[in-house]
Amino acid sequence: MSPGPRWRRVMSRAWRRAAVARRLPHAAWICAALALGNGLIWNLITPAMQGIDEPAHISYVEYMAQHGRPPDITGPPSSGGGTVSALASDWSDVMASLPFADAGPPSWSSAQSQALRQRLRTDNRSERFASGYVAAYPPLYYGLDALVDRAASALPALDRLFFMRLLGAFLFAGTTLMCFCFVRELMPGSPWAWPLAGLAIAFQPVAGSLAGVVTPDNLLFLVSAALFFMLARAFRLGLTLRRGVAIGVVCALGVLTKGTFYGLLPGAAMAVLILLWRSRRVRSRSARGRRLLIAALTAVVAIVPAGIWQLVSTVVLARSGASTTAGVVTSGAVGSARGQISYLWGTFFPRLPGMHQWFVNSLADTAGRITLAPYYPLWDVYIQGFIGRFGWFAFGFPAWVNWLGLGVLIVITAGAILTVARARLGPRWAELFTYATMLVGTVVLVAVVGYRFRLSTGSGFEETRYLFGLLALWGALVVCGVRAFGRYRNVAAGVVVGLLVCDSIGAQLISIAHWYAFPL
Amino acid sequence: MSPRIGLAAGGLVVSVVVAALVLLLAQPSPHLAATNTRAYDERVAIDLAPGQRRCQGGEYVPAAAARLRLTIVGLGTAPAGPLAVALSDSEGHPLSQATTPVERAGPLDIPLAGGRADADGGSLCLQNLGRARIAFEGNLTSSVLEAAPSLNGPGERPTDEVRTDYYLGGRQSWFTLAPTIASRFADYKPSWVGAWTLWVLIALALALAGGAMMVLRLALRTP
Repeated sequence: MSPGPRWRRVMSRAWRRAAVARRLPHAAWICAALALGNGLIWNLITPAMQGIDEPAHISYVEYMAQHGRPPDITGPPSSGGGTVSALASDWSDVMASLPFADAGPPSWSSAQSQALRQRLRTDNRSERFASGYVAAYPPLYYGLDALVDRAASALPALDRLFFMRLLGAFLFAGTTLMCFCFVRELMPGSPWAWPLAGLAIAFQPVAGSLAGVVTPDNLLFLVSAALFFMLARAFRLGLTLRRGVAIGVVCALGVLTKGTFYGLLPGAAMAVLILLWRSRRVRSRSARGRRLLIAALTAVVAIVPAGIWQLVSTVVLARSGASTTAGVVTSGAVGSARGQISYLWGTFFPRLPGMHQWFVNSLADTAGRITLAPYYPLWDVYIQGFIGRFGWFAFGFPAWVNWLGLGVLIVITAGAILTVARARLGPRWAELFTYATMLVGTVVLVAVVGYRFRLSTGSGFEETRYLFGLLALWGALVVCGVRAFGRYRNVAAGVVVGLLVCDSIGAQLISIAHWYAFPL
Repeated sequence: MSPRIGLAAGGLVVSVVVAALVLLLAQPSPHLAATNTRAYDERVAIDLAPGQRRCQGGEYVPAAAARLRLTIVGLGTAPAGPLAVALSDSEGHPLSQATTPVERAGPLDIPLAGGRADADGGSLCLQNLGRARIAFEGNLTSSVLEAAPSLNGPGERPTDEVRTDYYLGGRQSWFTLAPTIASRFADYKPSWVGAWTLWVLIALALALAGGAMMVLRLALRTP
């Protein structure tokens, strides 16, 4: 029986889409492959449970794999990465056998390792789980990884972990591809810039290290990068119905991945409104109707899935309605507007007179005396964390490497500012303003949650990865920074790529040294 | 400007860093054979009062370990007396016994006899034979306040223990130590991972670096 006309139309569309994908330069796929390779390296370098929050994420994935639904938020209490007793028996065995500590090395006893592998072949997977502070996270990433976990269910725990982590490497490759495409839309007349942006992402060591572990951040970064790409494409080519729906779909996927995505939504909404406003030059009734349809459909596609999830989660699954970001329930301490402003200010700027000192570490000495050590989040968390801090944010490069990295970042940023200042942006100022709004939205969201977390727990909250939904902007920053060098652009590009590669390989080497030699 | 200059610049940066790295890694230095620590720097001291004896289990003492290091972080006001150290394997057979003077805070090294097998689940007993309190660095409390609570390994009490660092004999360069690192790398990994995997990953990392240069070349050749 020959395929009917409908089938031929479907295949023709698929072929055309494949043709579009094929039109991507080879460099795009190579950059994605390089990111995949880095993710694979980090997968095998990082010992089990040494990804940040990994035990809790594994528990969530396993629960979904076995029950087909997210875990209860009101389940057994757990702290940190989830108590040993709250995990399945094979994972409990892994955690008990592999000392779980953020700063220390794993055991180096081959005999213990062999004994664990032997036990894992016969361990039963119990059905009791607790995901601790990540139980309230949306289920999209965990559902995807649960499919992987089910496919590998016949394997022992450590083998399953390899495949569960492998999803992150593929997501990282997708993120790199999206960032490549974002810069391609941003600077269509500068094809030299697109691969540079791809390399900036593929060799970002902290993003790479996250790509090697089980964490929803990997999907969050991909979806966020996809949003930047689609907005840039819409700004370049106009907002059609299909592009509007695609933006809505990506927004829905982001909200269903992790709460940090909310920081991007104000900027995305503003972008859609700006694009619709621009198209008002076509004054016909049908054009007006079309604009309304695009706006409505984009909003519906973005909001409805998230709304359905909230409904299912609270009514059907009887989970708490409080949303959470990094396990902080928004119904906790709220504080004051003044406190919030001083907190946000203190994150990035030196504290002004009269402002509270929010960022202090309480350190006990050997006599039990407590000293307060102030720290500066912009430097201690975001810049050093971006250059390289690994494991549970426990170790990183020597101080001189961080200072060198700061110098490079300053040069790149200054160059980017110069490039933008020199450019005749014209109507593109609105697009730039959109991306700035997305950046500010993310920063403010992290600051709001961080302030409440600090009030509720007295502990610090900020981590570099919370801003990695803005990775696409990092690629653009690098490219704009290099462009400022004018006719020396090639040299600048070469130096930057060389430094990126050294940062990545250096990070992998210090991680190997930390976990398998623990230099004192 | 020619794309080759850009490639040369990138290659130069990588070459300089690699050369510096090779020089650094070739320097011999003391290296650990095993450690029970889960922290970079302990913030809580384990006190041993005069006359007090304290034992802890779960010690992994590799055959290659040539000395045990304890770190003394504080002494009482009276002159510190000797410290009796007894290390035994899981069956109670002595691995090392020594009575060592304690003169000042800092690292305290106790030599270990050779010619023994790896000892898993061993125990370490310390007795303060002097008249002053001795405070040892512990192994659990992390200086990273956001860290999850740390756990000891099997057979160990779920409390802070005296930190024990077991050192290899002599000094090794990182290149000499590489096979040992590769062997440790294979532990607690998927069943198909062996020491060979580390070499493959290093080769892959170098290949990725080459791939980056190739992409750079593609980029710089476009107008």
